[in-house]
Amino acid sequence: MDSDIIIKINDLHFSYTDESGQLPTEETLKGVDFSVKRGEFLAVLGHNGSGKSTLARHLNAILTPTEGSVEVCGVDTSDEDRIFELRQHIGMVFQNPDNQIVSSVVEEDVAFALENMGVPYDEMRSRTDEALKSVGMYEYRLHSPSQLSGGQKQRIAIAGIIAMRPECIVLDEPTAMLDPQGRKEVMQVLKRLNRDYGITVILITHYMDEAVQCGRVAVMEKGRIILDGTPEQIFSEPEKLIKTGLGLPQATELAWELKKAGYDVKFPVLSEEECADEIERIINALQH
Amino acid sequence: MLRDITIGQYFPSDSFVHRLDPRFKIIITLIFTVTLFIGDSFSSLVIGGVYTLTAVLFSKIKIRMFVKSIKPLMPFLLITAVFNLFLSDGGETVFEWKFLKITEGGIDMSIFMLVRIILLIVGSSLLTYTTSPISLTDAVERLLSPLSRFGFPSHELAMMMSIALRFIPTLIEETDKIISAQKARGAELDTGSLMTRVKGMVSILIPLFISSFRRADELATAMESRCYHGGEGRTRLRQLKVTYRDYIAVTFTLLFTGIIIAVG
Repeated sequence: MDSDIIIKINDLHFSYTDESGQLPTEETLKGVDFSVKRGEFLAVLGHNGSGKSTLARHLNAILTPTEGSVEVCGVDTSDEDRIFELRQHIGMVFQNPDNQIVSSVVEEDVAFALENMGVPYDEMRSRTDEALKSVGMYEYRLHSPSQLSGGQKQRIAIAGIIAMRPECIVLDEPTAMLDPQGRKEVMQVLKRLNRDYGITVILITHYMDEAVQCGRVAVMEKGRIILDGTPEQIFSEPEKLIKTGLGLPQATELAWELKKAGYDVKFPVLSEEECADEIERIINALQH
Repeated sequence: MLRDITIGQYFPSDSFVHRLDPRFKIIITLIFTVTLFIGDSFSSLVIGGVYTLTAVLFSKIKIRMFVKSIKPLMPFLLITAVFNLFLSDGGETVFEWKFLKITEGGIDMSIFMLVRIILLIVGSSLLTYTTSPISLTDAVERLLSPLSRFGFPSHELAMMMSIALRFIPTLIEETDKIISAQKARGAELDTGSLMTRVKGMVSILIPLFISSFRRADELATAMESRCYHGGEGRTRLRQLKVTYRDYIAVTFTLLFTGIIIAVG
C-alpha cells in the first residue's frame, strides 16, 4: 500500500437496515471509490441525503460497509479487534457541539479520549493543554461548556480530538449550527491544524464558501462521488454543480454571471478579493 | 425563569473546607452524622454545635446561607418536634389534657431531635456548598470503586451522574425554547385550572423527551468515537490529592467523636 495514502475506499456500498433487518431497495452509498492522501485538506460537498454523513461514519467504523472495504491508516474498518487503534488515528467531530461534550469542565472534556486510552497523568496534562492552546481556548479551560458560544464549544470538541493526536480529523458539518463568527473561528482552526501540524482534514459541509478554502473538493450526489478535484477544477464547471442543486460560492457566482453577460472575466474566481480585483480590472478597462 | 435554578448549590471559594479532598469530606460527613446520634446529653449537643460552627467558620460561607437551607425543611422539623413532644415518655408530667400528655422527657427529646436535625442539615449543606457536583461524583466513584470487584457498577453510576450534571443546563435551555415555541402556537401554560396546566406540561415534556433520546444517541456515538469503552483501564485528569488539611480535619472529627462518646 502506498504510505502516502491515509484513507482508501474500495467500491463501498452501504444500506441502512430497517427494524426487521431487511435491506431497503435503495442503497445509501452506491459504490464509492475514493482515496485521501496524508496531509490533504478535503471538503466533501453534497445535499441532504446525498450520503456524505454516511460516508463520514464509515471512516471511523461507526458504520461498516455492506459491500466493499474501507481502510484507514492501514487498518480495515471491519476489523473489530482494532477498532480502538483505528479511532485513535482518525478523530470525528459532529454537527451539534452540545451533544458531543461529555464533561462539565472544558479541560476534562478535552482529556476524555486520553482518559479512555489510559494515558498517564503527566502526559495527559501536557497534551490537554497543548490541544486547548492549538484551538485558542486555553484560557477557558476551567469554564463550564454551557457558558461558551457555539463556535467555542465546537473548538473544544475539536481540541478533544486533537488531544488524541490523530493523523486525520473528519468533521461532519461542524459549522451547520453556528453563526458566521463561529464558522469563521472553526475554519481558521482547521486550516491551522492542517498547515502547522500536517493533520489530514476531511470536512463534510454544504457551505460552498468553506469548500473553496480547501485543497480538494469532492461532490456527492445520491450515494456516489460525482466530482472530485481542486476547487478551481470543480468551480470551473458551474453547470454541473448547479445541476446537483448545490450552487456556487457568492464570488464565483457573481463572476460567472458577469461572464455570461459577456464581460471578459477570469473564471473561476474563488475568493471575494479575487472577484473584486477582477471587477476593478474590468471597470478600468471599460473607462479607457 | 428556569435559568435561576441552581443545582447542588455550590459556592466556589478557596477556604480550608473547600480545599479538602472530597472523599475525606464525604467520610467526615458520615462520621459526623453517626456521632450526632451517639450523644444524648445536653453537653454533647453543645459540643456538636461547637464542632459544626467551627466547620462553618472555616468554610467562609455566610451563616445566612445555612439558615436558607433550613427554611424549606421547617414544616418537617416542627412535625418532628411536636411528635416527640407528645409521644415520648419519661420524667414528670408537665401538662395533661384528655389523651394529650407532655412530660419532661418529651420536652428533652423534642429539643434534642430538633437540634440534631438542624446540625445534620447544616453539616450536609456544608458538604454540597463547598464541593462542586463534579468533585462529589468523582469522590463517590472512587469511594465505591472497591465494590466494583463484586460487580457493583461504580464507574457507570458516576458516568451517568456526571453526564446528567453536564446536560442539566442544556436541557433547561431546551425546555425554555420549547415553552416559548408552544406559547407561540397558542398553548396556555400558566393559566386555567390545575388540570389544564398539567395537560399543558405534556406538550412540553414530549418534545423534551424526544430530543433527549436523540441527544443520548448522538452523545453515545461521540463517546465511542473518542474510544470510550467503560471504566476499565481509564486514567484521570482530575487528580485527588490528600494533603495535611485532610489529616487535620479527620483528626479534629475523630476527636469530636471521642469526646461525644466520653461525655455520652
